[in-house]
Amino acid sequence: MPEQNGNGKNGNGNRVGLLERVKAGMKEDVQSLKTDIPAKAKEQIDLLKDPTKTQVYTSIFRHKHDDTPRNRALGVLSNVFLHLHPAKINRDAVRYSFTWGMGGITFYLFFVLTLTGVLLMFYYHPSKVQAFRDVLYLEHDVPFGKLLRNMHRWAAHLMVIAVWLHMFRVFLTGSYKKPREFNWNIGVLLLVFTLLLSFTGYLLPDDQLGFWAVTVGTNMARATPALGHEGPFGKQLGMTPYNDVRFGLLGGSIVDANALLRSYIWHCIGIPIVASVLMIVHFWRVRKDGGISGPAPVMLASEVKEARR
Amino acid sequence: MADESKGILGHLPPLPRAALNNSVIGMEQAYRKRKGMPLLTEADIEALKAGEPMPWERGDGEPSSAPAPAGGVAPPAPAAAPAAPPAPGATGTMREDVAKWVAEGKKWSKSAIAAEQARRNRKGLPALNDAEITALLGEPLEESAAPVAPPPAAAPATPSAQSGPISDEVAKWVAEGKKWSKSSIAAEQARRKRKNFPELTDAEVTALLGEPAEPAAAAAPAAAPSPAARAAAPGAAPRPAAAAAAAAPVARAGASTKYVGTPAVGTSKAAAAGGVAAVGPEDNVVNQGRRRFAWTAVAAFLTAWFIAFFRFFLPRTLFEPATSFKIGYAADYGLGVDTKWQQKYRIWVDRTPDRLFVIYARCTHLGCTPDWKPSENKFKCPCHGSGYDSEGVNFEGPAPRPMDRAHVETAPDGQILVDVSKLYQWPKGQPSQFNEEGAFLRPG
Repeated sequence: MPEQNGNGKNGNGNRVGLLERVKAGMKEDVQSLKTDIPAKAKEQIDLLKDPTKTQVYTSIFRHKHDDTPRNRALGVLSNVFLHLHPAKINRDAVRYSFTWGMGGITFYLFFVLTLTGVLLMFYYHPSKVQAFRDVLYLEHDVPFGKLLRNMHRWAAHLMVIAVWLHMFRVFLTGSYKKPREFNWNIGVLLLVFTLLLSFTGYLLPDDQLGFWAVTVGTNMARATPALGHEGPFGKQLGMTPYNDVRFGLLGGSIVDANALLRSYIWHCIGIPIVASVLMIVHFWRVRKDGGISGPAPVMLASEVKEARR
Repeated sequence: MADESKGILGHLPPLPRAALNNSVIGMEQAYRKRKGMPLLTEADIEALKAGEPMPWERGDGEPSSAPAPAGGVAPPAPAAAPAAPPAPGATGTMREDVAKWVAEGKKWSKSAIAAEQARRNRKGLPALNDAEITALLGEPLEESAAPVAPPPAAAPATPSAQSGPISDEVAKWVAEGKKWSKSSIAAEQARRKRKNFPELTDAEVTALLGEPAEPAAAAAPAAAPSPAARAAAPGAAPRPAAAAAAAAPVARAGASTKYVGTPAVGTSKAAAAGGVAAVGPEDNVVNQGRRRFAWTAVAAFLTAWFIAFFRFFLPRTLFEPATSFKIGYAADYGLGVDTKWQQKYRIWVDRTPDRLFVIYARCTHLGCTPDWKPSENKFKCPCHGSGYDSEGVNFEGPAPRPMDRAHVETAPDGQILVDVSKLYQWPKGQPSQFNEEGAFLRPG
């Protein structure tokens, strides 16, 4: 009937036709509300008995979870967090007696440091008035503040140690050699950034220890060749305590408010971003350079594959 | 095949050679795997560790004697060694490129061979050895009793289809114990062809059929790398005989749980026992319980941390302006609105002939601070124009109710004590709280 009205076959005219059409449409809608929606709801509830069949689940997980080599590989390949990793590795390559697990531990510590660091930022103001007070506040009043600060502190110390041990292991196993020369260099950069993170974090509590450490540390920058006012050729190139590299690092001629703020920004934003990018490259290259450099692979006879012709 | 730089010797240093350690042998094994070359057998490895020459390095053709390093061990990968074994009497074995030429079937003239020798000499390549020359000439050397047999063509043409190991997938099916019919194997072959997967090898088909392959029985003793077998066949050919080559896949299937090379510390014995590349802990009740315990611990740990982090966001101590403060004595305030605390405490002190109260300076529309307009005797909100009379009661604009009033009381020292954390309201259409005790003072 609505269609007839639409075609103008009904003598009541278009207006009435429209009204009737709307009415009929509404009726249909109400009917569908009464029948379709409960049916759909029932369908969805039935699906909940097997959640892997629901649209929500299938929209997230694109492949089955059966324990087949293919699915296990897909579990890595189709996951944005895991896809930097190889889908399969030689089981000997991850022997702790060989790798010491130091690279993984370093990354884990970086992860812990990021989490605890972000949380600490919620209570820390990088200003001369408030910085040390905030540290005391965190230590003595904020719920779990002492725990978080100490996790951050110890994880930082451990990360430096872990990075060195990782480097030591890579050296001992000769993993810096071809084809991993490039990744070794990335690793050296990461070592530098780790130490810089440690150094910039030193000043942040704004206590005597950090203050003097950074004072001494940045005093070394005075002797930078060409760029420091006490370094070779510095004077000749016009370097003074007010325009040399140390001045640029501290944002002043002494370790003061600007230095604190700069430390904070390098520590929390600048270096972590660069280090994260380098870490991504580092992990990616581990895979692309043939996986974790392993001890001589030992395989089962059943795993030996003929060459493809 | 005996090319010492890249032939079966792989990357091993040439003779004379010191005893090799595990890692060098392991690297060699890896190299061989990568290149698709036959892998070192256990006997080979023992020989290398002992610093003895490998069987194929004895180019004199004499059968290797007592300490035979490869005493009867079947070669793991005949596929990559299509060339013939050393012909008795001929010096050396045949390299791959020569084997190819031989397989092409064309007989070389002596001058062609001489030219090739010259080329090799020029290029610094090892010269053709007697066996190779013989094969290329296509005629046995006079002193050689046997021809260079079997000719390379006799070696499996498509080794990967003929022999080869049992893949993990098939090993799983076999482990399931069900015998496959020929038609289901055919169906699987068709599927693999369709999917471009490698076809089932003979060894796999045999394993799936659940019947032992006939050559296996014959070659088994020779193929078994056990010392007993070695003792039983001390005189066996050091290197692949044709039969051994044919039997190799089966032998490999039998040795699928055996490590090639030195078993590494920390590798899974379970993997070895299961004959599969990767197995986790058994799925038994105890392990299920352990797994559940471990996951419960992880979940509890994360939950505890989540709660801790949540609590972390709720500080115990605040450094905010006090909500309760003194504003002097009632006598300090004359009739009307006093704005002197607006900046500091966000309040106006308002005095009528009989009451003194404190208006909290927040528009009831959306929370801006209105301005007191003395000339118009009203509060006017700059945001959306709400207007309030001198007692903070709305009369124009979108404000829904009069401005709230703060709690006031007389402190023991006689000063007025204001508490803006306790507010009195007059919501629209509801009774006013402005007459409650604490909402105003009656200055004496």
